[in-house]
Amino acid sequence: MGNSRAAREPVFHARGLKKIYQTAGVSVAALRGVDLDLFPGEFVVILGPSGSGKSTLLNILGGLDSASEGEVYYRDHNLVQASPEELTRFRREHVGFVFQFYNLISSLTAEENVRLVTEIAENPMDPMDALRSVGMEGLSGRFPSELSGGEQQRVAIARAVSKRPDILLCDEPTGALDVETGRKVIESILAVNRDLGTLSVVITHNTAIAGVADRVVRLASGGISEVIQNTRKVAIRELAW
Amino acid sequence: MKALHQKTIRNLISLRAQTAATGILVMFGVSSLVSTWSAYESLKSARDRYYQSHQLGDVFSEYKMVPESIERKIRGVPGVERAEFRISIQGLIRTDDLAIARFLSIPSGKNPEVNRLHLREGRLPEFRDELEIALHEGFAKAYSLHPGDALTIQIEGKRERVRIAGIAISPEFVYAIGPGVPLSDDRHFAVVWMPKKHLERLASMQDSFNSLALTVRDPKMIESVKGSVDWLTRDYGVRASFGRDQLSSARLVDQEIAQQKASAIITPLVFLGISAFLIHVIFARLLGIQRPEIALLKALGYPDRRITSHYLEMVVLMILIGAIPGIGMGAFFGGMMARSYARFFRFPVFGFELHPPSVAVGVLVALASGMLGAFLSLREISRLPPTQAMRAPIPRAVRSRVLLGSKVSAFLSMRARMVLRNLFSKPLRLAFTVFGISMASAVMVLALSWGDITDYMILTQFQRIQREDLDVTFRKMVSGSALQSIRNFSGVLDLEGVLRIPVRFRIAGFSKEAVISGWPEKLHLRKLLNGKLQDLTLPARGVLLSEAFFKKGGVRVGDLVYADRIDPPFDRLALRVAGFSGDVIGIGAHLRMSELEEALTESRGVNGALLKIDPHELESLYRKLKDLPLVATILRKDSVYYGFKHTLAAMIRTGTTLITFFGLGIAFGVIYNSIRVSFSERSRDIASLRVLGLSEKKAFRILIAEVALQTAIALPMGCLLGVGLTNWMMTSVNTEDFTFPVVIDRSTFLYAVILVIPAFFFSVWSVRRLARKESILDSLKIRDTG
Repeated sequence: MGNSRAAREPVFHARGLKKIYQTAGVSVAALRGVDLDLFPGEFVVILGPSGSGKSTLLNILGGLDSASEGEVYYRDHNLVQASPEELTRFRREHVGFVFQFYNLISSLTAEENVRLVTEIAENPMDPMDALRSVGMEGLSGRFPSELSGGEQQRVAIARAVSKRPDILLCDEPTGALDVETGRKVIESILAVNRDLGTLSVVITHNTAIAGVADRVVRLASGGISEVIQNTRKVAIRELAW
Repeated sequence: MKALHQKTIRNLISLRAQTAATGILVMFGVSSLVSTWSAYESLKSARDRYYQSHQLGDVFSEYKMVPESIERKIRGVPGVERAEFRISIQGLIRTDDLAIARFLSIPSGKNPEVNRLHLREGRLPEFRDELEIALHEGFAKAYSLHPGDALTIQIEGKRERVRIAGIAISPEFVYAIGPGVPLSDDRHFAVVWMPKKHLERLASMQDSFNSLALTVRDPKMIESVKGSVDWLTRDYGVRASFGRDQLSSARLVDQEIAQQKASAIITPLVFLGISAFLIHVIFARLLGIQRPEIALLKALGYPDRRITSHYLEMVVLMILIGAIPGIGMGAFFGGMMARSYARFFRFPVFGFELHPPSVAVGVLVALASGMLGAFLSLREISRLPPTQAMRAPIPRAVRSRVLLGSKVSAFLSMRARMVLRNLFSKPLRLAFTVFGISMASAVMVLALSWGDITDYMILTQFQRIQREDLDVTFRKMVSGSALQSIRNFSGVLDLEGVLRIPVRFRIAGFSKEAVISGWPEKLHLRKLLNGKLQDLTLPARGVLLSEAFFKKGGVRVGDLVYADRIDPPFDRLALRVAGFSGDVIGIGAHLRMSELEEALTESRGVNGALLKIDPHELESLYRKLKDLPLVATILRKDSVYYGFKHTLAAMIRTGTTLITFFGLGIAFGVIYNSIRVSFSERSRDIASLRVLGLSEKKAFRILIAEVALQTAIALPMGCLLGVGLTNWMMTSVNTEDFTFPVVIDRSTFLYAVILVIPAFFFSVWSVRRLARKESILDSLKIRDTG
């Protein structure tokens, strides 16, 4: 994959990325100069202990947060200089998010949660197809409170991919789940990555998940400490943690 | 300071907008109680003190003429403490207008023993060559008269020039009103006191009296004293003596006090009740969103009791923040009410006093309702396991399955479904919030309907009922030819003769002064209305009596009612009741002139006339009629109308202002709190929508839609509630002399709705500001903490 990757334009191109939080006169550097390129169709796992800046990096890439310094390009769009309106459009058109705590709308059913996205997307999937892709078509009429954590997370993935995003960003998607359920969730993300060719970025502190990735990026104290090209990807059923 | 106390203060500061919104409700609730109750107590104590210090009579009596020799006998009646034997006669004061005056005799240069005058200016009149008088303050003020000024009076047709020695008030005329008019009109009615010797001459009543006022040693003896007095004076007039409660001023003052008492019960009941309810709802919701914090405190090892007391401490502080200015505001509005009383009720001093029990009750009710709201939701929260704070947020169980699989839902966007399900998933809360907002417009309807009702009353009285321009009273009975000569004056468009007899009705247990009017068969300048204010024709036989007063007094159609004439020959009339009329202002009795003539012993004719005048000739004709020797008084409808409008407007202004402010307070308090709490609950949803690519503005709209929908349901409901509230209020304020018809103009509903809207926009705007400050990451709590 290495050669083909080099030949292609990166989806994200970040250089010298810094993020400093100012709270009550104290400044905390969450990112201290990150250089990173992410390519189409890749499955990237970002590893790192809590506080290493993983979420911050993901939030900046997804247009939820802005960098304090440096540059981030999504293709030819400069995200650092983008206005809030442009970031909103960017998220709507290109990004699918999956969070540790699912963030489903509790007053909408599984199907309606997906529709929430397909209603505003330009070229969406059929909501039921999206649910089918994560094996949730049978529970489409249930409210989040009537679903298990893993089921909720799969609905969240269906919701994220229903717009056919260019990028799927997942923040600790298995963090609140047991192994078996977590495996199902990773399987769903892999399926999306494989079938739709969506650049998928998964952040986790669970090193086991790195086994299924094309590339593993390790973060420590706000900087990249290591990038590993995964030459021998393991099958999903071999994952254990 | 302990950490928890510090947290209380910080919480209050961070919840300052909600503290303010709640505070406003508490403030209005407390102030409504403090102001109305204190005004009631102030009025009552002013009355009691004045009557006591100035010896208002306990028993009154009026006669044709009684020789002074009887005085000694009356003083000797057991139980009589002080007695004043007076001459009382009606006359005129001639100014630019004609004013009716009640002339009363007093000892020369001395205060009478009973009904003592309180001098505002100058001194008491003395018996000198020059005729000196003391003038009632109301009239003096209306014409800017002072001691030393001269006036022309007219008694029994004789005109005299008099000089004002002093300006005074009397406990007998706290509320000074002319005969047959239920509202004070200081330009057209005066009370004049003059030394007895002068009045004896003017009234041709040497060495006699025709009016008696006395005080008794013990209130229990009033009945026996009345009996003895009536027996001693049995040969000098048929009219029975009456107690202080039948004195028209005292009666009106008592009525006003009763009305103020009703309003001191109803207003706070409504307002403090609404406040208490809303405070309860607000605190329940407020603490609901504090769940994670409460769970954290529990995890840290704080016992439930300590946590409960911490939040109760916060509630108490929040309530007190509103209650303390509420006391001040109550004093302010109460003072305003007191000042508006002081314009109509003349007391030596009428200060507003803050009534401590009302303050205590107001604050306690507010505290109790806030603490109850807080306690109920704290109890629920205390059942939470302490690990709650560390857990992932569990999606709220959606109990409401509205729109699930229904056909309507196909037309609704997901966001619309969110809004509807959120609302209906907590139906009780939805009902409470809608009820709260609706109370704002209901209260507004109540406030504004006062204007509609008084306008309607005035319109009914002065346009439908009274169609004349001038109402003339003659000094004696006149014949048809005399009327014809007035009819021929240039400018007179129409004329209707009337025979009016001022009487005191005696209905089982009470008596009431009123005028019986005898009308020609076909009425054209006067309209009679029934209880529903529909047109009514004069029956062939029998009398029509004011429904509101007489029906309540137990009078029925077919009954015989008795009326004692107030003027000579002081005889008693017996009339058969044919039906009831609806009079909005004052009470009356109407029958055919021919029937009334039959009942009278004196010569036939009319003693009054209603005139319709060409507007261009009104002024000149008024001046011309005023100087006719035949004419006793003339009432100009335009000036009476203006006086009424003015007086009524002044009387309702304070209450209306207070209620309107309260309505605005409720609107803001409820709407702001509702949207603020919803924002806390939905911030995660809103953030999720933003992550999915909705702009902040569009995501925030689910909140606006939620509150807008509640407000939209609440406003029409509020209008309906307002009608109910107005009906309730009006039944409690109707008096003998005023029947307040519940008429609410469409524009009132419109205003009641419109006035709520700024509160809506302001609330949306201020919460939107908060929402803008909150980032998606904060709401989703996905920021790196290290």
